[in-house]
Amino acid sequence: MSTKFVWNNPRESGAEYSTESENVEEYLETIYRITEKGGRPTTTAIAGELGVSAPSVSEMLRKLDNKGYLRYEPYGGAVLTAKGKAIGKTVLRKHRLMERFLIAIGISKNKVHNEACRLEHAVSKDLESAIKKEIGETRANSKGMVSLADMKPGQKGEVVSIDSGELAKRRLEDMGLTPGAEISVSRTAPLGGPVEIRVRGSSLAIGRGMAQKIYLKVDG
Amino acid sequence: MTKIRTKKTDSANRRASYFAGCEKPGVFSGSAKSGGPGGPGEAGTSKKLRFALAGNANVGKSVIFNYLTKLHQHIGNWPGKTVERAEGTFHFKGYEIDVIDLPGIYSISTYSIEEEVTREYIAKEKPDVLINVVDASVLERNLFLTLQLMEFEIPMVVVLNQTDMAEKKGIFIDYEELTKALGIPVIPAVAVRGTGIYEVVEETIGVCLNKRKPVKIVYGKEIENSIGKIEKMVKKDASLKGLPARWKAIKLLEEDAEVAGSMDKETVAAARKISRNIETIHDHSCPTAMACEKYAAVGNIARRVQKATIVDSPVSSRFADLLLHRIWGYPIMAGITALIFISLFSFGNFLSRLMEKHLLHFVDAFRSIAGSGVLAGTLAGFMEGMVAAVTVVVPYILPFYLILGLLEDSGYLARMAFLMDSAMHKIGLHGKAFIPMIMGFGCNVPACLGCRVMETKRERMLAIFVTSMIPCAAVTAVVLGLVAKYVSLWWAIGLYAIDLLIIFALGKIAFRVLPGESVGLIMEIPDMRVPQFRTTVREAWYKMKDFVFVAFPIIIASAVVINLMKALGMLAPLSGALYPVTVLWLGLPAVAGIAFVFGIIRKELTLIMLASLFGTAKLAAVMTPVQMLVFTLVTMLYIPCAATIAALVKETGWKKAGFITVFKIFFAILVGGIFMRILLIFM
Repeated sequence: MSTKFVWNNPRESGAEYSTESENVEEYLETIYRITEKGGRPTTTAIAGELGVSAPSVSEMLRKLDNKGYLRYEPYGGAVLTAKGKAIGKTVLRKHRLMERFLIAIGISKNKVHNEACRLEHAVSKDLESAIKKEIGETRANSKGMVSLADMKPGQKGEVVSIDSGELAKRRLEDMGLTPGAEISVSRTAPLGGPVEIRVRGSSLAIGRGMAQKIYLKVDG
Repeated sequence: MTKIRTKKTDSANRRASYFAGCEKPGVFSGSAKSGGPGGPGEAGTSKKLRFALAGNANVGKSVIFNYLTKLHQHIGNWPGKTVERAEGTFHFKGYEIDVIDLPGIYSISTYSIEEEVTREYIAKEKPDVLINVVDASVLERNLFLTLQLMEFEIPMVVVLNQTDMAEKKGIFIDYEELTKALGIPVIPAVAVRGTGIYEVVEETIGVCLNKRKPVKIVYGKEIENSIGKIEKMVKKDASLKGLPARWKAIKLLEEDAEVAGSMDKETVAAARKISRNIETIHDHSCPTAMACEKYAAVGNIARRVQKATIVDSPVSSRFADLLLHRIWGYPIMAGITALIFISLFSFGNFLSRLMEKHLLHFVDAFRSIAGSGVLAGTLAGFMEGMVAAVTVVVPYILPFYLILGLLEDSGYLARMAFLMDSAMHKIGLHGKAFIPMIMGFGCNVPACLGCRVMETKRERMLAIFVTSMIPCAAVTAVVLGLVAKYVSLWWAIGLYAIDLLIIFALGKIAFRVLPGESVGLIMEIPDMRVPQFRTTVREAWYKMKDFVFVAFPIIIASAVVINLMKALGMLAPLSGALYPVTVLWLGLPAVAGIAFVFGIIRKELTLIMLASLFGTAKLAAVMTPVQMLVFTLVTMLYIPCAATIAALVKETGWKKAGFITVFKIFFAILVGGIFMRILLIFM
């Protein structure tokens, strides 16, 4: 998806640096993430995620409403506009990319989130594609991480992380796909169909879209 | 009752007494009031107990349930939820035992409606004992649920089912060792053959009487510390009474939204702080860390009790491989689907026509005798509604439930979903929706009911929305009888294409608009096996009965209302009232409005009424091709028939069913009018 919004351009060129817009990005990202998970971005939910007080959240939401990034109803929560959604989505994408990048260069997993939160705002389009080229969009990266969707029948691997929404992630974990679990690919359906794997003695079918978000360490 | 496992009883002996009991009502019967040969201590008095069967999907819970309760069962819905609730009663050694068959689940979270229901039942209605049915060949994954059930701290037994299948695969389980590990009785069984069920009931009653609770499964040190800390806080919190503090603490660590929502805010915030700490130690989010811990505990137990040898893959598994083959899988599936479709609907049509012919005869005879008074009209409407209801439910619904049950039970449904997943994604659904959708071409009613195979609310809603728009056999009859006959076959095919395109587009839009996360396909592929015919038949029968209660009143009421309107002479004013829509906007003859109204009872009535209102079967003389095309397209889209509305009500509730119905009426009118204007340019 092309994401052209005038507002983001000054920083992309590196000419200006504004904490104001960083804050805006952080909010839009958070709201987008909550909505993506299927939750309702209420003031309390956002405050909890960002670790700030509820009154300051409502103040910020009102500001964002004025700027047309979202519609804010006191007590009802926030609904992103198309403009706000585009920014939220882009920032979240950059966040996830940075997380993967940081893991790839050996940063400890529990520090990755906070680091990525800071870095995501500074990633320009060029840098984004350069990093993607380096660690691979879905291809194996330097650490041998590969997405389930790219594995061949007969291949074995160990689950490292699941990069999907919360609901699907919990479901997969409940079915036995916890980090560290050994799996083997039994077969893949043609034309972008699902992948069948064996995990903990059972057979699971996982849609290709979801399989792309499951990362594994492949031996050999 | 004697203590559990104090002595090893001679199992052959027991089985003999079980079979004896099975013949004579009394020991093990669904009908006798009080016990036969007498249970130790409790002879004569009828004490009540409540058993709840819980376990993963496809582990044989329903088989055990059917074995125990025979004909004394009731299948309905959980209040407010579209999940089956199967309950039954049986008598055993002087006990009157109520059994509830909880839906098949993989975890106690709130991923699916089934999980919500199970959790609510155990928490609120507190059965005397949980019977956890476990598939012996997938021990580790099954024990994941066992562990969570144990945390409810309710007396429990584990049934190690399908041990024969497991042994064929080279998996042997030391069930006595497993009993030690879990601290609850573990009974091996082969439910399909009835082996071990007597022992299960005996042990279960024993556990009930002892009120013996499962042991505590101990997690890693830092997790236990955290649980302990939160437990202390939780104990001060009065919310969620009746649930163990440890359970609540664990759920808070799992960041369970429902539990967190019903606890004090301070408790939740404090728990969150502790879970952050776990996150730093484990390097994963706390819910993930908890799942890891559970699987680690379960894996340890499984390794201790399970001996697996590698055996050659049997012929049956090679056959199963063929069913999923990248190339051969598809023709086989197409063949099976076609066979089901043709047999279901040719049989259904045949039976439906046959019944309709004879029954409508009866209605006509009644009409000619009773005349056209208000009372007679109402009665005739009632009878007509009965006919409509009976001719849908018996010929289509019962066989459909039967076939769907067999497909599910044999394991083939999961394989179809696997093969069709990528195609179904194009319309925003996933593989599991394939069968309901295909069935929709025959009749929308079983299609809607079949959407229960979808697990999350969002997916179920989507599937129902799409399948209820598929042109059914009755609509096809109108297309063929009007457009193919008087316009051209190409236009008939064209209309189909337009309709499918519209469904495709609306499906896509609904996929975007409906709130919630889309999870796609995450599904277990069970082993292929010979389905349990008796269980499936019984389930189909009870499900149909359940549908009858919802559907009949709606179908009959709509027929009565429409016929009453006719008897009261309200049809002419009605067609007048519809004039702006039918004539001005859609460009149809005024009588079309009445035909549409009658189409609510059955869609093919639109065509029949049109002929009877015009007073001629030669519709080409009274309608232009454009009118015919518009009329047919609107018939395809405008409203689900009464039986489908009934199915929608049953599956989604009045509000959503009403919304879908009203939406479709307006949508059909809108599309019909636009279609007419486009056609007029060319024709």
